[in-house]
Amino acid sequence: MDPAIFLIAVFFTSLAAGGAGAVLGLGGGILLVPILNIFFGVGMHYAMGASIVSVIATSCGAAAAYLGSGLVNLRLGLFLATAATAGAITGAYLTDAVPIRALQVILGLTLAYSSLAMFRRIKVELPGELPPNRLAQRLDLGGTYYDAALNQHVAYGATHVGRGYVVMYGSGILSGLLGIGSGAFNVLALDQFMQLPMKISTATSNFMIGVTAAASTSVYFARGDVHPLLAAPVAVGVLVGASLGTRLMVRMRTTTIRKVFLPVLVYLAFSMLYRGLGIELW
Amino acid sequence: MVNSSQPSSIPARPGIAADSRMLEILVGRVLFWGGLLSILVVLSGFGLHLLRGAAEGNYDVVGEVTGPSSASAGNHAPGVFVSGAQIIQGLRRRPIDPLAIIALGLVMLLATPVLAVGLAVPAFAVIRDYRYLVISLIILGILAVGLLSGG
Repeated sequence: MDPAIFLIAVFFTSLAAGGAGAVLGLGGGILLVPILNIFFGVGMHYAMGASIVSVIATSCGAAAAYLGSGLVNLRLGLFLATAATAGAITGAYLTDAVPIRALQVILGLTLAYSSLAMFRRIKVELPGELPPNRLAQRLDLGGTYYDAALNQHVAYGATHVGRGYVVMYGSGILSGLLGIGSGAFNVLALDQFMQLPMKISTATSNFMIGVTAAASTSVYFARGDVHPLLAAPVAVGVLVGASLGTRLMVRMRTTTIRKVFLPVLVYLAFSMLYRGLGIELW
Repeated sequence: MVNSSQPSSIPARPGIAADSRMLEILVGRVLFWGGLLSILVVLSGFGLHLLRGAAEGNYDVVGEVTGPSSASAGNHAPGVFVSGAQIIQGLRRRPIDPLAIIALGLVMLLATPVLAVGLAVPAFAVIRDYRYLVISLIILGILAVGLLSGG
């Protein structure tokens, strides 16, 4: 393929992946790594190196907006980032030791889980009364935010902090290992275990994935996995796509979109799994 | 702890000290401008590369990234930068190496969240929240481990 055409194709694919990722709430990286690997023949390590850079770019954009509107719980994000960044460095080093095929299998499973979690995410507007948690109180992990949809200030707390912290370390490992944001696992910790309101967990997760990705990106850089010519169209494409997708999402019915994308997600997850397992289907 | 009697036209967080709100805005600004600036640098390098390719024939990026999957130590593709020194070398070359400009932008992007956490340290000192000063320092320490082991 002609290099210029290749780069332009990568750019538009990243744009689409960033847009779809934002609309689906999955993030662009988890879609882009399999696409680059399957359709463009890009090596897993280069695909992951480009993706992890795009994760930082997207996080900067999204977190800046969410911080402005007061939805990021900065203290909570920083506290959990101590676990996530440590996990990310662990994961980034593991990447070297784990065979490519195993990476493909893990990515396939992660994508399958994230898609499932996306569909299962119940729309409970606000969690009810929480059992008190000493760590949450000592670290002031609660807060208040203004909920535009409910038109009121909402006070919230956090519970099961220890469990959330452990999940966050695991989420960091996956992020570093696969070069993705692993937002679905952040949300598992924040939303399911620590019982934070959905808007707070989404916004705080968006802030955290940038800090987490920064930890592993330096390892990817030093290993030579970040190819500037691949990372450039990917980072810019995902960033622009994500900001367009976020704007589009406001006007669309997300449940419909999710159903439309389901076959794509299933296809990508299975292709990755089959590649990793060495099964040739087509 | 919550005072919900405040006017709700702006998304402020009543009950949380105004100091903390300032900190959120500071971190948000750093992330926004750092991200934007880095992406502009990346774009300018990318644009220069494409322009030059149109004039001199294209660089074989396809062969590099679809080739045997990187990057066992010491065996990097020619287009890849693995250290700050290499990037500076590429920036000093005349004519300038567009890939070094992209790499510079990528490093700036990587540094943006680090800078945001770094600025939180003195900010927490000012508002006398020493717990979070320590937590921010721990994150910086972990990030430094990643950076130093990277080189």
